[in-house]
Amino acid sequence: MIPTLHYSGKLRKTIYVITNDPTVKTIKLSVSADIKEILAVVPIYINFGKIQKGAAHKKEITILNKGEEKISITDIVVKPEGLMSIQPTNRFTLIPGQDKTLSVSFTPSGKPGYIYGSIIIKTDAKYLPKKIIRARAELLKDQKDKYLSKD
Amino acid sequence: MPRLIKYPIVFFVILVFLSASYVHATPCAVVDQPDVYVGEIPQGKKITCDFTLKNTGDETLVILKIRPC
Repeated sequence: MIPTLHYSGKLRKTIYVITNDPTVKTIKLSVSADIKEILAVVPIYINFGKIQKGAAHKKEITILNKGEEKISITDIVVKPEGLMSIQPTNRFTLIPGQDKTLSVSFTPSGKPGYIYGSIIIKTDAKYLPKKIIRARAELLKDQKDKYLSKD
Repeated sequence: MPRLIKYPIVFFVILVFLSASYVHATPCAVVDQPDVYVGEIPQGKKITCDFTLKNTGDETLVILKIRPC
């Protein structure tokens, strides 16, 4: 069984079977398919870049129904919950070809360094129960912290 | 033909025949369709595909290893 959740477009998988046949010791078996994306999210990865502590940062994501049937977004879960939020979070339905833009807010706190998060979009699509969008930010040192570390 | 010459010849012929049949007793793996295109698949649906491996040889075919790539 080949999972296709993280693929779109052409997919090709190969299996090698090694036998005791002296003429054909290795048999190459291939499976190929065209994976059709039914729910596209743009961008697929959110990078908030280098940000200062405390200030809220916003980015937008657009969800597009590329399939031939309507898809309901049943829930949207954001992690880490305290740092990141999304609007709206209520259930909505997209007919084929329809899109919806959501606003992602990021209010960093804690120690300086990289912060990773994710947005889990839950759907009622038969083969796509959820779609995960990764987010990243680099929390910079406070000016005050810089002076403290120099001393 | 004297018996002393006849028997070694018969023995030699049998030996050649047996060794020849021993050399030819090998497994032979055959796959009718080693490359399968399953068409358009919606993202998220798992792909399943059947391959039939046939032994057309005269010795047991042993699958030593299956390596996905």
